[in-house]
Amino acid sequence: MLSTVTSEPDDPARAGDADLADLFRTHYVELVRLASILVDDVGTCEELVQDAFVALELGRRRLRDADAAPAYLRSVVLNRARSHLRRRDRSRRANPLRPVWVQPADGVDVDDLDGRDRRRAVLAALRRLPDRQREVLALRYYLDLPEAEIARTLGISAGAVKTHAHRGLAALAQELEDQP
Amino acid sequence: MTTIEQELRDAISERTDHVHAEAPPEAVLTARVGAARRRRTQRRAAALSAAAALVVAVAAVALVERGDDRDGVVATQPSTEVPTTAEAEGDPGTEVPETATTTTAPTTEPTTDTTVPPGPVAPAAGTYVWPASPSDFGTDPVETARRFATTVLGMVDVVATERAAGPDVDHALVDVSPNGGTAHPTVVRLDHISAGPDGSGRAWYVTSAETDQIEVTTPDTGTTVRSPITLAGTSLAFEAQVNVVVLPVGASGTTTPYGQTFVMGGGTERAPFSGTVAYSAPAGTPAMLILSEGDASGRSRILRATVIPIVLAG
Repeated sequence: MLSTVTSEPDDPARAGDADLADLFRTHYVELVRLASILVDDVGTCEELVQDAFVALELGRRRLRDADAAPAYLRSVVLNRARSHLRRRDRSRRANPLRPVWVQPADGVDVDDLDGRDRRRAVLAALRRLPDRQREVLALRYYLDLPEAEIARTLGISAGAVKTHAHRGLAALAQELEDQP
Repeated sequence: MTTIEQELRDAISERTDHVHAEAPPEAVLTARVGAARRRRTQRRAAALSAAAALVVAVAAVALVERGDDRDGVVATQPSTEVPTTAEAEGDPGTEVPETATTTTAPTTEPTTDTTVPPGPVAPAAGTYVWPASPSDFGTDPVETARRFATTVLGMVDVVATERAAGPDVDHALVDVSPNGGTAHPTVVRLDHISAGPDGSGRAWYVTSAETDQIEVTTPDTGTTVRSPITLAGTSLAFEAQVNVVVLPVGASGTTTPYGQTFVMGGGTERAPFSGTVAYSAPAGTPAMLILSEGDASGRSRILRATVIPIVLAG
């Protein structure tokens, strides 16, 4: 049985802490989707998220505030996604991908192809941003987290969150300006 | 909401809406936790075994040296060793044992004199940058990162903050920002070794540091490099200048570097940089490569930096 995410079991202030299984059920899909903004392969995203829950369980003694568990999980997922992308980039530099032609899938709304292409271009541009800018924008525009919560998740100041968001949006706008 | 914000929200929404995931059974997570616990136990057992082997080796060396002292160490030194000037000239200040030529076997001494407390084993070359010796490793990751920032990077008035989570429970990430925390932080990555069988007695050391304003793609962390080292990456720094130094592992920032140069990246927006830095050091020397932005205000020597461990091939 998975244990409760507390450091002091007899602390009455923590009596209502959700246990790991509850956190798993509540946050799993949301975290996989968060990872999927940054990492293409959904299977990899699921691996990253499950690893994050394992890290939470093993490190629960270091987690002083059980309410911080969701932020901790988001932070671990983003850290691991970043590491995965770096490993992938190194691998791709050593073994460059060959371009392939992908047939449009059945059921694609052909009338909205321009819109889809545009959204894919936006997502691709987001993924090319520096780590911090990419993560700040993902947390803000997917989870709608306030600046203080983003700062808590990433371990940076609220001012830095504003700066990264501003620079990230400016860079996106600049890059997309050149595209049809 | 601006157009780009709306477009970004739409793009993210389309991506996440098409991710059909559902939480696997709890048993899957339980099994992964169990496997991770077993791996951690095995790692700790291996570290403990290595520490025990080191203790035995140190104790054995100490015993041998004691025996040599008693038997006449001068007579039993390897023939290739160069005698000191004092020994060669018979300096009266250098005491030579009268029993130098005797062959009496060393008596067994009480082991309490030679026993050393279990100590951590140094990490492998190319996996860490500071401090040099396990005896100097810190007991607290935040304090270790702060000392690294002040000693190596020359930052003053450092604000050091541990993040809510490192890459996993056995590592730590600490943001260090100089000048009272006014600068964009450099993330210091730390790892630890344990002296105790239960993971207690953690001794922290710095494996690397990074600022997202100086991203290094070449060389890779931990690689063995030859002079001149090829440098590549992207940066955004004051007047586009990124300073580069190669220092011995564990050195302070004021140590004479093995090599130094600067490269030019972006000044107003991120841009690629490339260049080389030549060095002079013995083959196999573990070193740290520091790419940094200087502090234009002059308060700190370095405002932010990316630091990676490398091994110099000579």
